[in-house]
Amino acid sequence: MQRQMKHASFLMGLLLLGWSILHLIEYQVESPVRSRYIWYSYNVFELTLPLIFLWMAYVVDKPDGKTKMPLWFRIVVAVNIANIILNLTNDLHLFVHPLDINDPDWRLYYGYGIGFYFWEAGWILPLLAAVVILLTKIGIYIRKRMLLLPLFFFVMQLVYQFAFIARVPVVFQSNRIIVNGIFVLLFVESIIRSGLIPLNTKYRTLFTHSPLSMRIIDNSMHTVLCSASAVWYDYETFNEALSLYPEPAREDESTLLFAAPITGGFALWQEDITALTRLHKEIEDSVSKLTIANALLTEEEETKNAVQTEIEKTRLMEQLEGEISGHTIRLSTMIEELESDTNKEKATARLLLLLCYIKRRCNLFFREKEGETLPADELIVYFDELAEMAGYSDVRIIVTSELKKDVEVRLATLFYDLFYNVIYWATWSSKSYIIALLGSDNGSIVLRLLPSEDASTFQMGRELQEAISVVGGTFDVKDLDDAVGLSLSFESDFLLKQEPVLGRRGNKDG
Amino acid sequence: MVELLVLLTVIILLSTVLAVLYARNKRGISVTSVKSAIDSMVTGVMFCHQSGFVLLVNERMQRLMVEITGKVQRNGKRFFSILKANEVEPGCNAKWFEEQNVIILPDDSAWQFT
Repeated sequence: MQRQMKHASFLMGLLLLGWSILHLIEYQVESPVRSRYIWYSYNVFELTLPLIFLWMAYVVDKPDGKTKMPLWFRIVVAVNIANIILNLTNDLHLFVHPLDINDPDWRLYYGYGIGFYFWEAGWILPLLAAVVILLTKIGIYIRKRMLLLPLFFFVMQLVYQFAFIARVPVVFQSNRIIVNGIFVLLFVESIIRSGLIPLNTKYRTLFTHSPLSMRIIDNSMHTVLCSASAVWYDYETFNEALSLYPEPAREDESTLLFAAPITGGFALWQEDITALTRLHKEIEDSVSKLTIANALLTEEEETKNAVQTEIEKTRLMEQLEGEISGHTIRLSTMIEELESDTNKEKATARLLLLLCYIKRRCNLFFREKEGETLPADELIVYFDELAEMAGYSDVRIIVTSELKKDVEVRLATLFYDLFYNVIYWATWSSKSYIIALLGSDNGSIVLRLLPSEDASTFQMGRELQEAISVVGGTFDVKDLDDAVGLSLSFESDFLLKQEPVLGRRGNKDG
Repeated sequence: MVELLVLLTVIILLSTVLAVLYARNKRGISVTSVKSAIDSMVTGVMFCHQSGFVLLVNERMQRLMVEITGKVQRNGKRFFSILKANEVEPGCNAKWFEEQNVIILPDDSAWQFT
């Protein structure tokens, strides 16, 4: 039984006892007034008992702890308190029992006023409500024939009450308090037996036949109750388990041993944790397997990564080889022919230009692979570098830029290729000037080159032409009034964050 | 006066009997001891009739009922049907492990019902 139910039952017993004792005291009182007030005060018990029963019905399925009193219950309590006050002040208004307060035989001649029916409702309705609540809470699981007895006692109590009011001689001459008390007891007991109020029963039988593996021993260490599968341990083990409670003493891998002090003695029991131990073992095995599998997977991943890195390196080197192999072969040839060249100074300058070009192309190749963009300023620095080298072969170059911010590395590479090719072409002249302008035109990025020599003789290599057409670039040779200009442009998709800032750079002679 | 003395004697006798019964109950093993013993268990225990009518239940099982279904269940069969149907309170989770019902509570403790 829950604690709240226990407290309610205890209070109910106290009220019944108090009611009976007060009734006995009433017989000792000679004063008719005091006797009448004691008689009035019976209402405290008669109206409180149904309230306690109603509270029991409310908390029957509530967990232990403080249950908050609901509003409807507070209203019922307030109504019954008003009811009690009305009864206790009957001498002032006679609403409950019209009687002659000066008549010493008032007990034989009192009547029933409107307040009396209010009082009747005050105990019948809470009692009925309690039964309805209990029936609702237990639902379809009630054993219906068990309801017969509570119903019988309830009806009997009603019949007795009405017979008393109707002054049926046998009933009127009986002791109403004692009879009512007996009916209350019988009603509550039958309610408990019917199962409407849960009560743990058949302790001993259930305990001895249970698979709990428990032993109950008294303070003298004698076994008083023992379940079917209980075992006994020596006192040392028992004391150890008792000292560890509520933690268990470990008997073996699959058994835990508990010992706890209880009312009047001690309880000693085992708990079988075979399934739990097996589960732990399975989890440990799984974790161990997973750890090994994880290590293998990590190793495999690392190996794959290493292989992939090597493959990527090889692929990159092959791509780089493809990009610059032509130039390196040309470099070797130029070195071989340097000795026999009539103009060694220019040949050396071309060699220097090519070396610089190869270095920057490698640089641009890796930048492109990294997916980065190239700031326009940096591209101009590359141009300046080549322009400076070109100075050794009597080619003077002025580099101007209207672009700032970034350019796609691929486009920068193509601009750089063209720039180098034009310089290389110009080195074959005795003395040459070039104006280079990097800027934008109608949203396109454009590199314009204006050499002092006739640029119509410039021949662009097939590989460069193809590379330009792949990214949608346009190469033009424009015949101006007194010169021929070259231009390479790309659509605006490749132009990033353009800002019209005029920059001007020249080589040391320009 | 005599009646009052008789009344007082009855009250004193009654109180003495109750006190002796209470003391015996506290000192020795009684029905309360059995309930106290099964309440000491870490395991939840419930005995019920074939109809589901609860005969004996310990505090741990009652607390489990409240955590899992929101109230103290009055019928063992109904309680098990709730567990089977996974009609548990929010935060609780019903699982099947080795053909047994396992309920995981909001505090991550797992309870196997057999």
